[in-house]
Amino acid sequence: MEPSVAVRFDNVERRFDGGRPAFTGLSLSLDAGTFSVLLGPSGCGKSTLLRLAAGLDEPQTGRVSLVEDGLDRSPIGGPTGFVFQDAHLLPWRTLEENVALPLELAGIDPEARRHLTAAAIARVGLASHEKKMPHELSGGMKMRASLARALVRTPRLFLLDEPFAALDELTRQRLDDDVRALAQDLRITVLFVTHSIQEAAYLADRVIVFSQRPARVVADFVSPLPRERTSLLRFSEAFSSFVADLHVALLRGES
Amino acid sequence: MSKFAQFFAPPVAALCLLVALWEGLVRALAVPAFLMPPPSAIARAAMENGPLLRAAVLQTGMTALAGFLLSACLGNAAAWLLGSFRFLERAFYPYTLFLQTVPIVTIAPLLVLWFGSGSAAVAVAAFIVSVFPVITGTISGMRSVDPNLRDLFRLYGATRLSILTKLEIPAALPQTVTGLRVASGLAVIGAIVGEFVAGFADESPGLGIVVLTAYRQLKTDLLFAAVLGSSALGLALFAGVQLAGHLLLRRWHPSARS
Ligand SMILES: Nc1ncnc2c1ncn2[C@@H]1O[C@H](COP(=O)(O)OP(=O)(O)OP(=O)(O)O)[C@@H](O)[C@H]1O
Ligand SMILES: [Mg+2]
Repeated sequence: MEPSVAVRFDNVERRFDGGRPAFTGLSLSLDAGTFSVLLGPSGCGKSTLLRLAAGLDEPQTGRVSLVEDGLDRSPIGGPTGFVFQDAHLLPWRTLEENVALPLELAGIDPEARRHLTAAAIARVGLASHEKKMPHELSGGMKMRASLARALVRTPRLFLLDEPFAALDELTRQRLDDDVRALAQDLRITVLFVTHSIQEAAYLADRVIVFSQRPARVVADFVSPLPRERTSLLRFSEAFSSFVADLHVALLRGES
Repeated sequence: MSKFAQFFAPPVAALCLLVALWEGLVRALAVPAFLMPPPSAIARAAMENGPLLRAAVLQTGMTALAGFLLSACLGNAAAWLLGSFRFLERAFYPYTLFLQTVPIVTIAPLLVLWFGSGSAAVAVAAFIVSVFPVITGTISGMRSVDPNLRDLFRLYGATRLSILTKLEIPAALPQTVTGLRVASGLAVIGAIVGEFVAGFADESPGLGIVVLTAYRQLKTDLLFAAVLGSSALGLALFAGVQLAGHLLLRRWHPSARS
């Protein structure tokens, strides 16, 4: 098993033309192999933070780096999987061809590609749907396909931007369980953005709560819940009180 | 009644009505045949000149098709280049407007100078008239690619060439097909106008030549038959593009499903 990576934001500033900056002087580090959830008001800069970690955007000042084996590296071209709010599958490719895309772009040979693709599809429970076109899949299945695509190159950093916000509650809970299980199996570092306090509480080892722009960390919680998460946990005392804590922190950041 | 009949019955009925009305009015008002021949006379002229018209449709069809294929190839190649490199687009795109705005009759004599009278000049005229919608269709398709998909390709370290072939070209395909559809009609127009100026050298006269000759000889019924031949040609090319587009898009694009 390859070691996963840590992520470090050092004194990061990101401004867009006009308006208040998304962050000024933000410092944050995510330990290798932890599941962190980022919670914050709309427009505070959560997606921007993910894009910085993925190397899709750069800060004006400060530095974003991935730490692997004690060595710093730039996030650009990093071992990163990214899942967007919508599945963003290529509509002209079958599920299988969509999942294989990152391997294809990396120039992996077709034989190995087939193996890895089949494994990734099986892992998200879509085996037997490989040949379907995206428009033939349900919303939940599309998100699973998107997960498979993000996992097919076995990332060591997994970034998810409100991935299940558009799904019904039960499908969402099922996918939450799957993501949590995948992250634990593969021991990847996860940064998961959500609007849902319940989802944050259920998934996280650590919850980071952002304030309104410019975003500051208003609260940083280590989950009081046991490492193994099951649906029953949602009805427990500990879960409810964690949700309440997060709620209060979020409200504090809004004002 | 079958779906097919339901679809075709109204336009066919309308056509019959119009033709009958036309025939009746022309006869009742005793309009001179050189001004407005009745449909029956047009049909007779079409029969009598069957071989001539068939050859003309074929001749014009070949040059229009050649011009159209040139547009499809060169237009898309140009769009891929301009769409891939912003500086190229900024430098050259304004000049492609020239292709759209220049009246083809004014450059047709130039084409005769360069290519000589005959099919080559006619095909180039068809190309010049029809290439612009292909370029703009494909470029605007490439521009409207979802930025999240671009990010995805960037994240996975895609090369410029992979982005073009695996993302932009397929994503632009619906708009490319739309551009080609417009181009197919324009290519026929361009070929016929080209023949007016440059078509005389061909041993087999195209529709443009038939139109001009019929006009000079006041054979208005033949003129009408040639007009019908041109629209049939335009329709055939259009239908061909439509079919090809449908085959390309039917697996995934909403416009080609249902
Ligand atoms: N490319 C851009 N150009 C200009 N402004 C931008 C750009 N990207 C983000 N912003 C601004 O930066 C701020 C943070 O945006 P971001 O998308 O990161 O917020 P968010 O926390 O993800 O919001 P949401 O919860 O609604 O998704 C927003 O106010 C947005 O308007
Ligand atoms: Mg966002």
